[in-house]
Amino acid sequence: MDEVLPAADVATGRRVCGRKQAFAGGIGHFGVAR
Amino acid sequence: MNVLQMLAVCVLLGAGEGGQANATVDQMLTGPRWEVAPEISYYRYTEPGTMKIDGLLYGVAVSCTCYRPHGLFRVDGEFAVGNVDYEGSLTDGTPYTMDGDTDLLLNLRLLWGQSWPVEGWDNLFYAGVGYRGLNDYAGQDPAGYDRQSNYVYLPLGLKTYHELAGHWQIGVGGEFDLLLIGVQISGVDNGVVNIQWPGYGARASVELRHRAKSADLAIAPFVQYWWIEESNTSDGWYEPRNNTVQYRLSLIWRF
Repeated sequence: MDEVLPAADVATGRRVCGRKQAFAGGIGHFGVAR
Repeated sequence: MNVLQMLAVCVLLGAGEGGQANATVDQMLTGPRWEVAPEISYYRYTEPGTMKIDGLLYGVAVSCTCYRPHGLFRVDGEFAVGNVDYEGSLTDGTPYTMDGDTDLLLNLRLLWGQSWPVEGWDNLFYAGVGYRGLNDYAGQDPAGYDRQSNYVYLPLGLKTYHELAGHWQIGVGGEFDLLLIGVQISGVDNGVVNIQWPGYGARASVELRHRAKSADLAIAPFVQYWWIEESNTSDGWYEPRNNTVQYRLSLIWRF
């Protein structure tokens, strides 16, 4: 799935923490991929 | 037990909430006073326009207060845990919710205070340094990731107590918390660390206490608010402006 940035971040390309990952699997404890 | 030993006991063993302003000679002679307070609280964290997390936390606060001629020293500690619900979206914008993520909350504070009585009211000013840590274990969800929030802050507070009839006492308190630094660790992209500043917090509490010779018992509703400005950007990620509200009810046993 494509990532859609909030309108305020389109110009900068920044990604906001708080939105969850739009793919199965996610990310484990503090960045340890699983 | 000399002054240094008494202070060392407080610092090493103690921690909590509440506080007695009446630094009488009796208190100074009886040594440290302890408080143990089981508590329940409703917690809500909001990133406006992005997401919110809320739920009930269950915990306990412990404190130790040493009364000295030049003021009081106090160590506060609080630990709470509970299950919270997430309401927000995925990175593709799809609305998304998660239920039952575990949150852990830790508060540690080292305070110095000075009391002064005025016509039946015992007033207390206090200041110190505090640490608040919150772990949000959303990594159990396929789309979630864990977060750790760390605030180091400067608390400045006022409390006042008034004797009522029949060994009852009422206390009212307010506090301003100035954020010194916030460090947010998010489990995205192999771990992202964001620095948050400025920010502030505020507390208000009411305490209804029944005093007895051996131990006091009090019930204390409490509200805590935090407002934190948007963080710096790290590896392309940032933590948005956010706020937290916590409504708490404590049963304080003081001895």
